[in-house]
Amino acid sequence: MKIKAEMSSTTLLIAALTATFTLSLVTGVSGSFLDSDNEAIVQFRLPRSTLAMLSGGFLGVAGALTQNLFRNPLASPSILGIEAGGSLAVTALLVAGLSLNLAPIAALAGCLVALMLVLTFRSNLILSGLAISTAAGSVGSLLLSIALNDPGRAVSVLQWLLGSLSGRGWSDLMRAIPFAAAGLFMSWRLGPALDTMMLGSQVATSVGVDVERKKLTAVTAVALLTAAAITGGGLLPFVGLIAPHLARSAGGYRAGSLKSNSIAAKSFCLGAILVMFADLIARTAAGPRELETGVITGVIGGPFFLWCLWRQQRKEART
Amino acid sequence: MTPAHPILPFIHQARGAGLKVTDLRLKDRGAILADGYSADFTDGKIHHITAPNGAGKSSLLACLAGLLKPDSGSIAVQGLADKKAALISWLPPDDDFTMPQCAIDVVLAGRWRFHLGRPTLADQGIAMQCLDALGIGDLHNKASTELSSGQKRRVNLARVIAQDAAIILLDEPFRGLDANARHSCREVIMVLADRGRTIIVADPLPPE
Repeated sequence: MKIKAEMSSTTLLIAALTATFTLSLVTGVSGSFLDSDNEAIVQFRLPRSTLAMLSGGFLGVAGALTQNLFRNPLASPSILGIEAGGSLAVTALLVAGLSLNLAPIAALAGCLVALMLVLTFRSNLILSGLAISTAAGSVGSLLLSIALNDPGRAVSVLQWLLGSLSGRGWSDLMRAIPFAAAGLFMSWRLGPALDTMMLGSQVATSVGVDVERKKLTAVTAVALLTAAAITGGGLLPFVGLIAPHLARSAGGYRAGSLKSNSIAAKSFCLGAILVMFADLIARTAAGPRELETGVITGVIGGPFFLWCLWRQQRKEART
Repeated sequence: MTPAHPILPFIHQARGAGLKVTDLRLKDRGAILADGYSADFTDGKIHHITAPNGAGKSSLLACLAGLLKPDSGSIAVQGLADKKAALISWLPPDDDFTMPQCAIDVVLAGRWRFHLGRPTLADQGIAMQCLDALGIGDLHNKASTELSSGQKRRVNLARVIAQDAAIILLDEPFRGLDANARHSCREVIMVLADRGRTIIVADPLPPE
């Protein structure tokens, strides 16, 4: 019975994911529904929707992993400055005029540096994340102002920074896939150990988990997934925060439903749905002009973060 | 041979292991918690460490669990096991459940050395036995973050029992428990000692 209920909530999410994907495919510019222009679907919407789905999914899993690793439901790749670190590295790459093929490696390096900094100052997790993202953002602006000498390059950097999915295609996806595959595999293998580490490093050590090694794997997986999402879909703030939150409330509390891997799978679906919807809004709301997808997720995510804070405050006041 | 007790049948009668502490020196933020502390914790007994709050009981237990390095002195474990988790299990002073997990999954974490991340049906059965023995079997599907402090304490204690280690370190196991819960905990601890486990209980109050 319990396993059935657990399966059904995941099946429901996969159905919702497929429905959103189909909706994304058949929705044309300025919101013309059921626009079955085959060429437009295959040439533009299919790669773009796939990119939106996968980037969102990767960020969802990265978010679930981050929250479980740091044991903080408010952590996420964007809040901890991991996305900012990766994007700064890619900005530097673009400003230097290097090939976009190097973007995943640059993003990975940036994410890893940010993660190392967060780990060093983890006693004040959210504040250190704030410091890292602000600093990375400022350095990014500095680089951007240098790039202004070449307006074409500056526009491409800016578009990338704002998380625009327009003009992105299969090549961006292909660059991200190997990183994401490695990250997803590592996160899946890590799941059970992470469940134990959620009880604290000392307890995990006492039951026989090799905590230091598992932490290193988790950090690498978060960096790989965030880097893949950044190179695929650009900056998409708050997706990694919202998806795991919704995943924990989806399906209620049943045996196994709160395990890392179950939360990660649900976060993948929810992150994907979220970014596809954000992209739909970005494509259609202000038509014929396009908005940036990252701006939409940011607009949705900001209030959501505040709502999480408010809920936590209320809970603390009660106990 | 003593007859098997009806509760916790998975804990078999065994000659446990002992801990020998020699000349331990332990500091925390400049304050000396222990200096020249020596003790011999032999198997099959319940050892009580009674001291006021802030005296360093928790640090001492973490030290015995191998989670904290003493400044000097030695802790020798007398017993044979291939893994450390088979020798020593540890109940932390606080139930730090920040991320929601099902109560049974918390207990299953204690079985890590047996299942290495893939709990079998037998592991699940044992986890249920531990919860039942402490009178909280009905809470197995509840989220750990939504339990009361006494329930959290017992779920954490069930995890420690599920580990089936030779030496069991319990840091204030009765904190926040009502009379009934206290009674069932004490009973479980006696059963464990009966079956040859070495149990060290740190508590600010002397044993009743």
